[in-house]
Amino acid sequence: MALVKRRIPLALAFCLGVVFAIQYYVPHPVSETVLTRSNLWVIIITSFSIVLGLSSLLHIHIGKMRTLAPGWGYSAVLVASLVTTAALGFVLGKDPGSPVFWIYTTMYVPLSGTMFSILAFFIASAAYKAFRARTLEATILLVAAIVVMLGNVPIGFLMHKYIPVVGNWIYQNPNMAAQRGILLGLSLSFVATSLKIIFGIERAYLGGGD
Amino acid sequence: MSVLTKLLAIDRRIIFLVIAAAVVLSLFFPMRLEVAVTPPVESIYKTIESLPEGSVVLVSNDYDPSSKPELYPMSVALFRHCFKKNLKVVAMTLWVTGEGLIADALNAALKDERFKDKKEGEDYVFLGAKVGGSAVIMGMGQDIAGTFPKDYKKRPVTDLPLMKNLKTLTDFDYVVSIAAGSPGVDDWVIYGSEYLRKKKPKRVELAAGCTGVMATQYYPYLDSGQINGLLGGMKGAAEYESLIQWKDQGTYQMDAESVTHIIIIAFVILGNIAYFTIRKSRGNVTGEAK
Amino acid sequence: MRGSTLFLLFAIAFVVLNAVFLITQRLPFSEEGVGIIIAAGLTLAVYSFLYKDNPAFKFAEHLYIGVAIGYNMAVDWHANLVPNLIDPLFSPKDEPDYTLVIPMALGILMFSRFVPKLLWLSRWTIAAIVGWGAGVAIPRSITENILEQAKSSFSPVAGPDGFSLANVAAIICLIGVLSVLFYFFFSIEHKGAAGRFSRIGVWFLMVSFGAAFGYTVMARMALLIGRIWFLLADWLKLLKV
Repeated sequence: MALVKRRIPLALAFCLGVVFAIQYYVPHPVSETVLTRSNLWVIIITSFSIVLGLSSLLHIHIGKMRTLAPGWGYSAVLVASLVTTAALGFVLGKDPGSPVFWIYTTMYVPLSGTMFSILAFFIASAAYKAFRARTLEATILLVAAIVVMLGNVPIGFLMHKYIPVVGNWIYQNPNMAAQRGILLGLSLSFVATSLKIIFGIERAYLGGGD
Repeated sequence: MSVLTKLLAIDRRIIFLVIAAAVVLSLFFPMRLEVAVTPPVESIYKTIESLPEGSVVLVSNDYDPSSKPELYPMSVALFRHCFKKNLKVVAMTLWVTGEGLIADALNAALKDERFKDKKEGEDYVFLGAKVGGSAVIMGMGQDIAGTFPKDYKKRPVTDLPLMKNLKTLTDFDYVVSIAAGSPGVDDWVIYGSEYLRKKKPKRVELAAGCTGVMATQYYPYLDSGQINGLLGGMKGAAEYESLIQWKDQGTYQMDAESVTHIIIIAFVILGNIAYFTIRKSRGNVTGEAK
Repeated sequence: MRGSTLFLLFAIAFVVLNAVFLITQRLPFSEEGVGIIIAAGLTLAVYSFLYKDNPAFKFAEHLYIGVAIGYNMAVDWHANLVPNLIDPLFSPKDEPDYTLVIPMALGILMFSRFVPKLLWLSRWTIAAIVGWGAGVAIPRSITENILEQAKSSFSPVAGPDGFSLANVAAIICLIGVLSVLFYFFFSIEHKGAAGRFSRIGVWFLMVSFGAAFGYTVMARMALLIGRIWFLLADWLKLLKV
């Protein structure tokens, strides 16, 4: 059983990883066709996976409703809105004029925007209460932040025409250098991890159990 | 010192009220300040200005409503610029939850009287949403119709006049990725560049638009030439609106940005002054005790 | 004043205000008008969290998750599964594309996670996707993120017109890239000259994080400004563009 449960998936990952890594360097039409088909298949499989995330969420909330745990009413709201939106969407479509499109513009758009906009308040509170120039490094961070913040807004341009220029210079030089260093480091470790996955050294994606 | 201590211990809801009041007042009393245009934004503008009439621009709007205030004005401004220049536009999104928003952005851009002759399917196409990120981009690099068999309105893509000559990514004249995360700009650079480079004699250029949170990460791509321009956040949208001389939400909201930025800077400075003053006075008291 | 009394007062005020808006035609009594009222109510429900966690916020939060996932599924079905799988396989223009049975089978296998005894079947699909993803990513990441970036780091020290400010910036950037990379290299102890070089990397990182903070403030404020704009312009009709 270990053969089908673990070894075959590992072999599959190895074969596909090697084939598609080599495919990049093979300009033959057959190689291109293999990539084209695989892209389409991945799109289809990814579409199925969207439903998966649903299962654990529904499991938690339906469980709460069944046992009448504290907050079960909110769980009912979640399940009802999910089922209603999905059902309306499957049956009546999602185009402009459909009930789902109305739900999208009336509920999803404002809720999504507002949830993330709350962070603006917390960032202001954090800037006041926590942002301290205790060390040289923190001072450098603070000074860079202030210069860049002034450069990002019209009032900085009004104060002095070179403030946006300095802000832009910071973005395109020291910031760019640091981000490039981070990008190079991350990419190297990403390639290393991908190789570990292909060679079966990294197996966390298979999950636990036998 | 007790005043400073009280100031530092202020209820954060008062800070929230100050920010909210600042935004409301600056929207009611706009200063209409001029927005300074930066080279990364100007580069995108100049590229689109240099495209001959009839050129096709692919705009990948990879965001959802949580990034609407920053990226929606960018999409609308870009669409307006393309329509003004009589360029053809193909829009798409890699984010399923952004589909309705992008359709809305196209409609908002087309509302103007000057564009009433623009025909869907001939002058612009919205391909809709597709999941798969890198697979979609590589799929478009080889076969657009195979990746997007139908457009947003469920019409076969091969039946649309605009799409007849657009088989792969090399058939576009410019590609812009406006993204709020992944899949987005990184995926276009990593998976799309190999196809964009295939166009001879000159590669298809790629530009990026992104939220403020992500903007600093893309400067290495800008420096290496992998993207030829960058629109960063609401500021990028406002700069682009001023370049195309079509002020809209991106510009109108910049005044509120100015005021809130000054308030945040004031909070930081005040917080530090209070902190160091209190710390110094506590140090003096300790010294006296010795 | 007790929280529940405050909430009740706000709710009554919201209902009365919107009733007045509808009666006076400030908001149209239509799908659009009702939609704006619902959107405004949900926006205020979320912002009520800034005062205190409360039932209105919890309701809005759970509604958001439900609607988000429901919409996601609906669009996924119509925009992905139908045109890329269902139509070519079951209602094709010409011959059915039978090769699509393979990704369909792999996709269905993922649902075996719901049955503990058959959970291992889903590993086949996950392994296939992960292996494919790793394989396509390796050469492309090396080309675009490593080689291209390394190439750009080494700009000429002096051009045909000699030494200029641009060359100074290029040297600063090169020092920055190398020092940041060195900072993350933990195989050598950061002492002495190595320690000083790694500290330069820290300074570059601090400038970058400060720049990121500056942009983040703008981003978050933009989201807030967008929502307040909606409340003032679209709902209360107090602002005109």
